[in-house]
Amino acid sequence: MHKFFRQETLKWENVADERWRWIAVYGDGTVLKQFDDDCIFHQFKEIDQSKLRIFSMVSGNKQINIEFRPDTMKLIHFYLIYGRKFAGEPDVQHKLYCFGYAMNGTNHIFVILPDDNIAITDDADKINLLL
Amino acid sequence: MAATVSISETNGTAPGTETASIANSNMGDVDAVNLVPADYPVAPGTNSYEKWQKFNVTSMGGSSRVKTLKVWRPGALGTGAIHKTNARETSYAGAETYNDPSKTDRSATYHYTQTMPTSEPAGANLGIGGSLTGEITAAGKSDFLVHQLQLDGTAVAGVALTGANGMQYKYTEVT
Repeated sequence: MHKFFRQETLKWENVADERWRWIAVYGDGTVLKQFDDDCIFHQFKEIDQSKLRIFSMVSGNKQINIEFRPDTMKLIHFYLIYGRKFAGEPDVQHKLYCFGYAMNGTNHIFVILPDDNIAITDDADKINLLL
Repeated sequence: MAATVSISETNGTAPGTETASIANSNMGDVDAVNLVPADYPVAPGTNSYEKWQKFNVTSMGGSSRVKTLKVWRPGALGTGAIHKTNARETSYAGAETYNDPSKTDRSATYHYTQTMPTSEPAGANLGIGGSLTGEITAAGKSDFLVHQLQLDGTAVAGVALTGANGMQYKYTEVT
């Protein structure tokens, strides 16, 4: 469990671990981790994209890297959550980890599916998950 | 999970009693949460009681925004049944003010004139703060999702609502 200090409320929040996490590596070699080694959670907007060199998504021994070019790219990261409630069935909920970049007016988004396969799209809403 | 999101339902006389996290969205001939449809069948030529439900964000869990709320019902209905809702991608009427759930067709008043989608909508179809582009940035709730099953005289009891008692949803979360 990590902690996040929300400035708007001046309160600490508990943040549960994620299956996939981001790591930002800057040009000077310093690193910002979404879930850092001091048990602090960092929001995506904390990443200084002007200094970013590599953006990684990491899960266990799996890692996906984007070599980032601050002058031409804008970083993208969000979750899509699918849920379903059906009579007589357990609730189902899946999270898709979406990340990538916008360049020249086009989004390039990698969507990590629940089975860790990856879909690539310019619009994550085009990904339909059958629950 | 980052943000903790559930579906809440309000029942009873206004301001109503809210159940923060419902087990199901079963619809029937009673104003009750988590009802058993077989115990409250909807007769042909009548309607179910309206459902008044919300997305309920109880904790942001480090995230900054929850947005782009979508709801749909993937199951098919039987002959003579139609599922109406206020959730819509265009001409969204804004946030509805809670009123005691009714089995009368009040779609004109509460704007549930849209047929419930059976596949994922392209964009948000339920608002936050009265707008489809609204965002939840702290623990809070969406607009009411109001919906009702309407049966005509050709509906066959027990068949018309096959597939009706399920809902699917999707939202976007930004950390």
